[in-house]
Amino acid sequence: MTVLANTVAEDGRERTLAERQIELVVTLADLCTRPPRWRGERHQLGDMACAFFLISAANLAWVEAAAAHPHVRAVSVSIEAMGSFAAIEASIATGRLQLVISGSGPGTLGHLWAIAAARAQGASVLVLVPRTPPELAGSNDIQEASYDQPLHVVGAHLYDKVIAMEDVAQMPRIALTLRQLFARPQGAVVQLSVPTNLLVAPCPALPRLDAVRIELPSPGAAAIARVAELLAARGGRPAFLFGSGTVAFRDRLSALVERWDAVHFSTPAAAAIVPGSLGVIGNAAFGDIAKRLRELKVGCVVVLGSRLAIASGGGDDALLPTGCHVVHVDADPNVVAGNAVATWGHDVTFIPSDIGEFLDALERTAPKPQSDTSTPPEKGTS
Amino acid sequence: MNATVDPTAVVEAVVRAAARASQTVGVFAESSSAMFYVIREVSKLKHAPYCRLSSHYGSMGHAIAGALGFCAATGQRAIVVTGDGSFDLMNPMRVAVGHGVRLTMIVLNDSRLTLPYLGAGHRAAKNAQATTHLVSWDFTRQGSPQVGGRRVVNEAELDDAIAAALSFEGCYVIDAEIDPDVEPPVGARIAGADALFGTPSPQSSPMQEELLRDDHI
Repeated sequence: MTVLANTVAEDGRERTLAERQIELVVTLADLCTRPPRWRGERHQLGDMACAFFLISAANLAWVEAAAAHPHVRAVSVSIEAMGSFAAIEASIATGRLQLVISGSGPGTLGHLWAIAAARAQGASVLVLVPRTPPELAGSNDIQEASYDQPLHVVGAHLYDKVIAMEDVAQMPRIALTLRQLFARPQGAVVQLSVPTNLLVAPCPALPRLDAVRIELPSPGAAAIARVAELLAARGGRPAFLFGSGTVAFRDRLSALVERWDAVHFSTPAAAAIVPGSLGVIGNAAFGDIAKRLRELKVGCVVVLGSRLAIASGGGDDALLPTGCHVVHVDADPNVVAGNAVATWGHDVTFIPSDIGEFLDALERTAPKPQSDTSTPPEKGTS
Repeated sequence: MNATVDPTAVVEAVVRAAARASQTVGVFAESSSAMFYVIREVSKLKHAPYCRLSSHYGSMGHAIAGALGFCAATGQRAIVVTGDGSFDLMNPMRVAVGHGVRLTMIVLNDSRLTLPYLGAGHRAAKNAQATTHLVSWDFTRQGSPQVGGRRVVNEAELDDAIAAALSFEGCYVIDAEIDPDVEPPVGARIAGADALFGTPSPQSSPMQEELLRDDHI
């Protein structure tokens, strides 16, 4: 059920900014849901948006609003990073935005340990950070976060975006910014810092976020035709490297491998999601995988949803056979640079796309022609 | 010498139990030698359980605290495979009990920081290696009757302990006293540490020669 952030009219009660922001999180969690990676039984209330926090005076208004909200599970933790790590895995498992309520001052630093991981894992996490109100800024008060003691901006480059709020009137624009960021397939990790005096101020209704539709990035017809051509090329069999971004689509991967008569391997985060894997890069199997790719004369490796460097775990060894074409599919274009060493000397085609959209588009292409492959099928690898 | 259990047997039993559990459980591995064991054992399965690692950065504490978040958001049980050093880093048991989640910790306990121990040995850094030893610790003593626990010192006890943990309505710790002579399946990573210093290891040691055997690289 979508709980819209602008439902003030339901009871006519004026909302504080803190309450409005908690409602906004629930709305965004409903609107920006991505395919969950957890396929087991669900919580009796369904997937939850959680608020992880270590309570302190500065974040009291948010904690109160979160604990009171019927669609938020308030989870107190014992150290800041515990809350951020917990939010990562809650987000990955459910595909929903999760909330971290930070303390002020040094408390904001405690999250940084986990914030880098949150981005790398593709989680959707909003970190609410309280700042010292303007009239107290520079007073060197305990746990101050202000222009004078700017602890709240330490590590800002680790987030996808840091928003320092100055006035309640900014909220409509901030709500739409968050709507756009959390719609991204690769997730987003955002810090919103707010002076504590604003948290109890009245906040008017927010824009109707469900009226804004944001399409997922998807591959064009020409790109898909090119990938199909590479996958069907004569010679050795193609290969797929499955990363963590494919886990949510694991039910479709066996058919993908079978259709293109491909071999496959994975990153650790996608270990054994499809039977018959050549192995997992990043550990002792690296050399074996490289050897098998060479033996099979693999001419095309399609990397799906992996932020792990292709060379990970191999030291100076090369994974990709000479002349192998790399097709890298990911919503985040930054992953291309991460593989610069491993793909040196190879042709690379990067396709900026949501993994589900890519699989849909590839499935719609004409079936692979029965080519004269020079390599017999590998027993147990497809 | 006290009895110990092969860490491979521990992780294999845990992963298989998770894969065939009637109510599916999430498996989390801390970014220590535990992660490498879990990757290897999961890779052997035809169908993997829900398995999460802190890949990319390998952030310490991610699996332990992340499992708490998984449990809170899904209402389901999680197993965390961790080392004894990692457990110290972020002990979530009081928080987990407080929120009524079902968290099972599997501690690969060898009273040392295994990867730094091996890495220091590889670099012949004897003094640094001496700092990697930890005080012997019983992780089943969590200070609350709401946390179940069992120490495991031989393989025959494993299945019973895991079954007890997975049927326990609450948090549970299996403290496995592992054989310190079994090297984790880390591939070329120990030898690859030389790249951090731009030079080969200063002198060859028996441990280095062992690590550099061709089944490790």
